[in-house]
Amino acid sequence: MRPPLPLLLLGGGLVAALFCTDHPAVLAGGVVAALALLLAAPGSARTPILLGLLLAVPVALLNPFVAVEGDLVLVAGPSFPVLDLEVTLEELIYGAALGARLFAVTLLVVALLRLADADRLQARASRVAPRSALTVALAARLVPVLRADAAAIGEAARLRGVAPAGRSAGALLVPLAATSLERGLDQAEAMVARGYGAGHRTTLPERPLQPREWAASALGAATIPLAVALFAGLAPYAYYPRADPALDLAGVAAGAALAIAGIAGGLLLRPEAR
Amino acid sequence: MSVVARLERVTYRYPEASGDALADATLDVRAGELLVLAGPSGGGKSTVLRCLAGLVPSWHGGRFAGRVRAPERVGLLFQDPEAGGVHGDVLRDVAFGLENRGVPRDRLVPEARAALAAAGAAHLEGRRLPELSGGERQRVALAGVLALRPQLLLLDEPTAMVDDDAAEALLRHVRALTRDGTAVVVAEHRLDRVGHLADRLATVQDGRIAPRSPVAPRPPARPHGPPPAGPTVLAVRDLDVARGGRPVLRGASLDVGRGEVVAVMAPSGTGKSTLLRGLAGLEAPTAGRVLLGGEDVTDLPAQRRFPRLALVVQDPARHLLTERVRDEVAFGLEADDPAIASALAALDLDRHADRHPRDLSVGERERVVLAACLAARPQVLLLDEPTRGMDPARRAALAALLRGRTTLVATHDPEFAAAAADRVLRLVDGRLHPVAHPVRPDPAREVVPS
Repeated sequence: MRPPLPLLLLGGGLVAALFCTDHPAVLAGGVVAALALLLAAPGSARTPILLGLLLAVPVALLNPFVAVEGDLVLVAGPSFPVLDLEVTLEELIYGAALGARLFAVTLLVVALLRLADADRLQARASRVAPRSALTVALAARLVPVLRADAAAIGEAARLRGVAPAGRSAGALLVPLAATSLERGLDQAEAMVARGYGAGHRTTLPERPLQPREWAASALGAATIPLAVALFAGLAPYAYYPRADPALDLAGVAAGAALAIAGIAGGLLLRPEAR
Repeated sequence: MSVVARLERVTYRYPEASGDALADATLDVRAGELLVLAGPSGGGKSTVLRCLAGLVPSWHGGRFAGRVRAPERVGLLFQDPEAGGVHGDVLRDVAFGLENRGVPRDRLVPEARAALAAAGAAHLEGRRLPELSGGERQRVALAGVLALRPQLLLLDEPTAMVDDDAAEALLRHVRALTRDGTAVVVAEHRLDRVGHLADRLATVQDGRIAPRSPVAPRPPARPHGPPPAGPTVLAVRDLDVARGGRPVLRGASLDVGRGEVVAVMAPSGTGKSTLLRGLAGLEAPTAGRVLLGGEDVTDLPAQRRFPRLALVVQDPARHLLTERVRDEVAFGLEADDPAIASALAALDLDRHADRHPRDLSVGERERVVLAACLAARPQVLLLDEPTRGMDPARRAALAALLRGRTTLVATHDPEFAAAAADRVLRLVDGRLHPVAHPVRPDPAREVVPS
């Protein structure tokens, strides 16, 4: 597990770059970077990819029906105040770009949470904002603990003759929420019982960053000026009324830089074999 | 011995509770003594510990009357060590309390290491909490409490998750702490485990505290002998089950006859739970067969083995499915099935039938899940450590309740096995072996020195 600094720099730089331009080459580079980091993180990549698609595909599909722009009409149809049944090629491309951005950000968040050392994140948070560390502690463990509780509740239902699928799976969300709340209260009580919040606290000395973590931090730091340059107009791109050519040098170079940052970051930050 | 902590006529009611958790409770705790609090589930033992730890009423709220005196440094070991963990890394988790106390940075690691050693858990440094067994987690939690050098150490059912040997080792560690004046209060049902180490016993029942006789009741032992002549209901043939790629069961075989109670005993981590999970359909075997009433059910999923086969898993209390005790017992059954009321009555839960199951104590919640399985009238009942959190009277009642029901029970509890089982099997290297001699309670461990 990795300390917060390289992950915050790398993740922050990549997300900022993704939101600083609409250039398809940059968005494609961001998707490659996110996939590389996800594959480097522990755990199966399948579920986050499915989650990313679940979020991204509806956005991509919806755009042609809410946007009223673009020159190249593919399907002619009437336009209503909130619904446009005329579909243009540009609307489709822009929808795909929006979906790609959402997909990349989803994968990045999952990858960074999986790579992060939750303990160090919590320690860091308790130094900056002691009261918020409780929230951080609970949030950092939310995904694995929820997964384990969901599995246990699913098993409890199966052992009582109910397979958790469809409506019955939905019904199990209530006990899952109750279990999570109860667990959160128990953990908060345990923290209070061990003196949390009682006064001045010290923190355990942290292990220094390893060379590879310094390298990933530098890589992350380098993506931040790139994001600033993109925001300032390094690779401008317009989808409407006609989509610009996507293979301009600045855009492709920026996209390639993001992809390389993600791949190199993944290689540097992947967990070491124990 | 001087009094280090005192409850004086404490009456307390949790927020939104209908009754008092403590009623005019008075207790003195003396320096250097090991005081054991016994009593039925839900009787108020955990609340007494929370009062002494300062969590009641300040953390929980509610209505409080009376006075509590406690020393500055109090350590509380919670019933569920999983709930007490704050960090993932063992050393960091142990150091958490030291950080909160503002111990200088250069002393944090040495003091955390010393606490790990004091709890017999030095070998766990560098491990992650989620990787540890229940007993190991309990030791790390104890180290986290010991790191604070408490003048008063409070332990809430510290041996519930561990086998006899681990419990004995843990309690001897705790007993040794009293020599330097630390006062220790242990809430524990298993007087057979802790009674012989105690200086004093008290009972907490219906929120009141009373001194207790030094002899723990014992569930009636049951003569062991050959299985009843009933036909075989559950047959397991050469079962292999792996977990996490590691083979756990290797050719396990057994027969359970109609009306027979068979106990499986083995140390923690040797595969008892895996055996029951495999039989219930939660783990897919890599080889072997499971026959239920002569029918091969090896490939049936768990939900289709129910209700013929019902499993009460270890620690079911957190994963309850409904918001009312009666609904929990009725889950998966017809709502007007008379077996629901019978099961509630059999497990003394009828007075709780309309309560939210999460308002009950851990022991009571486990009885709710057991009642749900009994209400389904299974051909075979599978129980994984069913006596956790149960007081001796309830254990004896459960042993009596199982009589005549076809049951396979995995347990660490030799007294319960002696009282409940017709046969005892031991799981060794993934195979089941009959125990040559019946397991008997050790009478020497029942008498408490005065």
